[in-house]
Amino acid sequence: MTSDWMMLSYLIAIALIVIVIGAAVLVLWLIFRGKIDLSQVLTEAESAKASLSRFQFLLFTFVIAGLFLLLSVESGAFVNIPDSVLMLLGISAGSYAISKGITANAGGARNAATSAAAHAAAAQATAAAHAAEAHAASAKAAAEKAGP
Amino acid sequence: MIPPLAELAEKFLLVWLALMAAVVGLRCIHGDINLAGLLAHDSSDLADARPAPERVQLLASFLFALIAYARLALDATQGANADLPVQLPEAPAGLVLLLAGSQSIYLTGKLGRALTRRRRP
Repeated sequence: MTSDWMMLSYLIAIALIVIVIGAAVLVLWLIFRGKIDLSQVLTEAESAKASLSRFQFLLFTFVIAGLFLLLSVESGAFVNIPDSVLMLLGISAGSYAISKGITANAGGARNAATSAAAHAAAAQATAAAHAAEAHAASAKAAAEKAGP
Repeated sequence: MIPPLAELAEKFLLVWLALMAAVVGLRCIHGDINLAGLLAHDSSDLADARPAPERVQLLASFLFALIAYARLALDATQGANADLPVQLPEAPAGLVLLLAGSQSIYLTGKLGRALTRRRRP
């Protein structure tokens, strides 16, 4: 009876591993074929530039998560993450967040200035249109007064 | 002693991570992942972007920190007489300090440039 359960648990473990491996291979294949679009994964939302802080945060997370998974599989249980490693990740994530804050702030000020300039230009154009309209009306009135 | 299934899963994970890194690296080299302006000043036009020193030093130091830590972790766990790992290896204090200093320089430079741009008429 016990050996039956052992066998069943072993088969379930194999099935789970096959499913996880299948999903992992599928994701890798779709990235390789370009079906999962990674072209903008490093691009800043506000501009067409790639973001260095995003790049380093991505690489740190990828490497530390990969090592964590690797050691967890090797030891058969979730391994502990020491404070110094959390500090490395925290520095990287904190820098990313602060960098985004600086960019958003600078972008916000720039957008406000652009919006004010556009508003002023629109007001100027409206005033010019009104002036031209008044000028045309007065010219028409003068022409009518002058007669044929 | 690692059970055979776990050993198989570990080998697969190692290969998968390496393949994933290779695929992403290839896409970066071929230009399928946008890396334009990664080292350029925030304000500069991409057409004539010059590299910013604070960005270059951050790139160099974080790559160094990353590779050093990954090597440390792999060496500590894959030696011939290595025991089963119970935790990720401690990152050396020097490495943490290097990364913190480098990020501070980067953020100071970025903030300084943003403030300078704002003051400019």
